[in-house]
Amino acid sequence: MSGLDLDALRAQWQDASTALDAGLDLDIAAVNAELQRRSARARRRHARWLLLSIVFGTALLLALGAFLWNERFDPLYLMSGAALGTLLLAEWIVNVRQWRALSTIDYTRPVAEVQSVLTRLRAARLRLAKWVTLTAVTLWWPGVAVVVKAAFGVDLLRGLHWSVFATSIGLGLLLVPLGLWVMRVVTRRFGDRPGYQRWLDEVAGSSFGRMRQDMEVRERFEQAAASDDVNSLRGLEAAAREIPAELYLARRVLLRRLLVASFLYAFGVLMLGAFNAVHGGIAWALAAGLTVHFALLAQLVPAIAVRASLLRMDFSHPHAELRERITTLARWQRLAVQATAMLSPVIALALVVVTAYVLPGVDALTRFSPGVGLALLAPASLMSVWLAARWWQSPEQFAAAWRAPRSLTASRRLDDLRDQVPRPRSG
Amino acid sequence: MRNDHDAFLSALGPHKAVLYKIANAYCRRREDRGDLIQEMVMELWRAYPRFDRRCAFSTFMHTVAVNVAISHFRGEARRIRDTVPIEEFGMDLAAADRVFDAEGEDLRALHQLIGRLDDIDRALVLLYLEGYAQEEIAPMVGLSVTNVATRIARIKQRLQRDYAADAAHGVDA
Repeated sequence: MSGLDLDALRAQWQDASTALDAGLDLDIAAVNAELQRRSARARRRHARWLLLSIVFGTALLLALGAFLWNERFDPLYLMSGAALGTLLLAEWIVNVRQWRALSTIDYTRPVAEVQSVLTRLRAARLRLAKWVTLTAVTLWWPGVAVVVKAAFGVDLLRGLHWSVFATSIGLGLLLVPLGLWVMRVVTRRFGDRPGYQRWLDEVAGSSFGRMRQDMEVRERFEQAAASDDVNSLRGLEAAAREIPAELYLARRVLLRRLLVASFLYAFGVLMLGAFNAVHGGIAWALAAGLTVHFALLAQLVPAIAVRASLLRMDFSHPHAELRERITTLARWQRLAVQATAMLSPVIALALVVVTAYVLPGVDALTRFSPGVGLALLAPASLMSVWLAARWWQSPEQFAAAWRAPRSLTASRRLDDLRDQVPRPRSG
Repeated sequence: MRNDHDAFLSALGPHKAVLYKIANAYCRRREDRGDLIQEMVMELWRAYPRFDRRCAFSTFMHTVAVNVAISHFRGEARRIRDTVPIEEFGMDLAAADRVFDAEGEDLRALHQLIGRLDDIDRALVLLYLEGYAQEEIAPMVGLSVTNVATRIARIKQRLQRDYAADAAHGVDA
């Protein structure tokens, strides 16, 4: 057939339906028994995560309320707690609305009407995720201070140097308009791409149900892969539309590496956080600590995001779609590595400063005047600008020159994974 | 209650293939269909008291089943936590699959292409293929008749385009 004629196929479809009706059995007695068994319980089971979120959120809000009452005469903790409480309350409201909507959803209503309810819920969760992301840096230290005060009675807000909180809040407030601008640019550029919509679905949390199913399938493969038994995996391949067993094994190795990388980066982020808190009053130390801190975050976030995407990836999708998704992941991963490479002179200098403050007995930097510090920072910054200019001129040449042979960030391994996906047969 | 059960099951029996076809259209993996079909049956039963007998049961069934299918994969559905193997429902999906797989190459290609459409378009094309007129589809989906006609025309063009592109790249079903 040279083309697809839907009207011509309509008759064929209905003939096939007739054959299906004749050939498909349904045990009415069994269905009856199931209906009675379920009706007797008369409970609607929502996703457990939603119920847990509401219960946990309620407990948190009550605890925070008690804390705010106790600290009602301390304006610093009152403001910090109130800011945190606003976010918690917003999330709690979104969860409760979702619970109510799912409890009353009427599947007999027209499809578009039902889907518009679900779309509104999704939009509310995306808005919440957006504002949590935008305010995370601003609220991070005040949040930690509230938790530490509530749990241990330690007053971090007055115990640490004021510059720690001032820097965190100041940077956070600067990042809000920047973050909004980035989000607008990204939405305008990628808004209609299926990959972007899938990522939004994950952010909105609507993939939890899908994750449950994915986990069941993955468990079967993991059990076979745990013994590196290729033959067992081959036996399961039929359910995975001819995806090679080697692909699953490669994916498993990559997931492990990304998990190790994530832990290492997270450990570094926490250590640098502690370093920044302790050295808050020393400008050079704080600046260097923040630089390395953000450099580690710039590696941690892509590692977590890539791992999460690989975990959720459905390997029963068409091969071309799988290749495209893995290629996209590798591209973003590579961009993160290249951005770090561009900033590597400045990051290296910052690392030297942090090390000088951390290593016992090494206090060379404390003897340097600000002039020496700037004299070191200027060439490092110029080198970063030069690297950025080279990248702008030719990203491919830059990538070739800065390929990391044993990178934990795994962009090369993503390319290898993509190459394991069968190519479409030509002809 | 017993009469309601009997009436519901009597109405469901002749249209059981609807469950299979919608599950097939919305599930990427065959092993997911059992859970989805059970959810459809449960939601149909819950919604049965609201069944307006002025329309055909198949129309009611299509609307509910499509809504459940779309919601199921958006993760928004009320989930059944303790589904049983679909064989305990007496539904032999393997037998249905044999009928399905015996269809011509064109229908198999059509099934694959339908799987690439978005949720609403998938619902529209399924109802269209089932023989519903655009005037009947419109209230089921909640769009105007004009909107349905326009979207179906666009779906036809898209399916033709995707079919030609797959043929050019040697993509098989």
